[in-house]
Amino acid sequence: MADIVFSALLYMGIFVILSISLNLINGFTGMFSLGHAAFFGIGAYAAALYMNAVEPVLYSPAYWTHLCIGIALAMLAAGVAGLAIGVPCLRLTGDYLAIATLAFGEIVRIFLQSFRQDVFGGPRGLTLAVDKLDSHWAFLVVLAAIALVTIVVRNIKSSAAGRAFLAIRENEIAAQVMGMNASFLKVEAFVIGSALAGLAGALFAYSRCLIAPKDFGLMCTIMVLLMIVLGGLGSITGAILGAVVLGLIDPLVRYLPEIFAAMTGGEEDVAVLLMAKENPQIIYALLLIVLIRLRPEGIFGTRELSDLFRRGERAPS
Amino acid sequence: MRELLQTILDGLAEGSLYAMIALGYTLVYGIIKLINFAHGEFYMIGAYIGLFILATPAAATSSSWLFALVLALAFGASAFGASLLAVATERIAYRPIRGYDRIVALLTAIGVSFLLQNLARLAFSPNPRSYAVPGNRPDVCWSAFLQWYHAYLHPLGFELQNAKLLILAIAAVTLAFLYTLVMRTRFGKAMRATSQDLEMAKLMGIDTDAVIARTFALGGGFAGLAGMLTGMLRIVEPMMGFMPGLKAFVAAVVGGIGSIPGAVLGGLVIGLAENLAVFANLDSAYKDAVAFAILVLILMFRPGGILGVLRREKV
Repeated sequence: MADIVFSALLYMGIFVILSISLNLINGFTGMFSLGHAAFFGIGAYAAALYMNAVEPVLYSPAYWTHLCIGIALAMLAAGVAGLAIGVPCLRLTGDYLAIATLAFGEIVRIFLQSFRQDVFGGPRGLTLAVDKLDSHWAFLVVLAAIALVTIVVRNIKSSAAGRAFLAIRENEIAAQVMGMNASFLKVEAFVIGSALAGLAGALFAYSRCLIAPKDFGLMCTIMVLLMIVLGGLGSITGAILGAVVLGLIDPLVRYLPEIFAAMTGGEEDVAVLLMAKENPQIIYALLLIVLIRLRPEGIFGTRELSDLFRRGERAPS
Repeated sequence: MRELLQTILDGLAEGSLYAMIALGYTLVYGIIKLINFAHGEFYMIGAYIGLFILATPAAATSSSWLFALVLALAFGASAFGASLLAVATERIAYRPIRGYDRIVALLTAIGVSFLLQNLARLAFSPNPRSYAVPGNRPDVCWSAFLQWYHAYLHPLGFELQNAKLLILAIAAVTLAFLYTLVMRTRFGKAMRATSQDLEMAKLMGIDTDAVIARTFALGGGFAGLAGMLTGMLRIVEPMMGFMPGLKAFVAAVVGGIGSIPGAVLGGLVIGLAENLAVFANLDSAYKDAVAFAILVLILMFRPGGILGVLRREKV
């Protein structure tokens, strides 16, 4: 039982990191990237391949070292991929950037599915040669990672670079007029965001026995997008909140018929709820459409939790 | 040499399919600057509508007159049904967010696309279906037609599938029709005006809402037709619109989004490129990636597309 709870929490945590990383690109810098799941996947595969090559014994001191190295490798791989994808996309804006990143994401997924199937495992996926972490340990690692990522991104946001990102989001040309190197900054944001996604990918790989290309497709990106839209584009707290809320909705939707039956005490299966259980993506799609129309700024907008506690005047960024 | 020409022919045929779908994308983008991700789903719905009509008992007839009627009805209904869905989507999902941020429009479009895909999965079951006649009865006109559709012609030693020729022909007709419509008719003028400046068009007395709705209808209709034509050739399943929709969008961008000849050109380019790549010994598993690679190249070096005009952003 505890295993299930920790598993759910740890996946929620991984998506928290993913949300924060995508928020850096979409929310802070205003670059609409639809290929984020690709970096998640690259990080996962990098970490998995490294672990398969080294094959440490679970929980030995060497294991933890290799875990850290694997994470570093994953971040490097994802960051380099971010560089490779970010540089060509520099001049693109809005719709075109969205489609280009979508295309890149798909290319990566196709590659992971088809290239060197002896190495990458093909469409079935890559099995890890190392046992996966027990869910409570994995959860602790993820928690530590979340804390680190939040601190780092928060520092970025209040740094000069972070303010530059926000300026680019508001009006790129004005930012350039003010002397900011928009191209460099955009690539910088992209690389940092993708490296963090790689971190999430590594953690994802360590907590599972198998990673498959279909986990890293468009649906994954859309889920993460939904999380940051829900929480508020441009807000770290929002990203965390969005990931948590959606992480809670997911099992809820799956068990909705049972819950409903338990609540009403009836034996009847409500057809609508059964349909929803079969196809939870319908709920997410509807949620996205309704949410983006009714409250495009999400729950937190661009504010942070700490803004609520501030006294005195401070313009939220 | 012969294989190369054969590949080129195949590429043109496949490309004309993308072209038909791309036309819808480019029309809609030209008018309201929206990438309608759900366009692939209009294609899919056309395939299903045709399927259902041809599954009725009336279709399993031996009378060629009756069959011709049913077939025409199926074609018409698939186009009409798809355009109906397109208009409904515009009315329900896109009109309320007109004027909002681009990100809102894009996310809504993605949401609608996913919604339609999953609704189709729910309604039609994810199992792939085909247009084949159950029991394979030779006396039924329908199987005769399908046989002809799948058969190959052999002019000059080349292999040409009848289906692909038909699609090419219909795509050509579609191009001619749309081009004439946009360039030579009053309605086309209204479309061009709306796309240039919505407010001004309204001030000039053009009912922009109607123009936009009808544009959606046109684009959706042709996509539905393309869906049925492809569905007859291959299988029909709820996700069938995803890849072709994406590739058709790439085609529209490559040719110059907003330009009708551009959409067709883009479609042909993508079709040719895919087939040539496989011919040049690319593993067919990577075939899908070719379209995206071309997209990236075009966006890097000529973002306006081959026939497009890049608008400079003014401050």
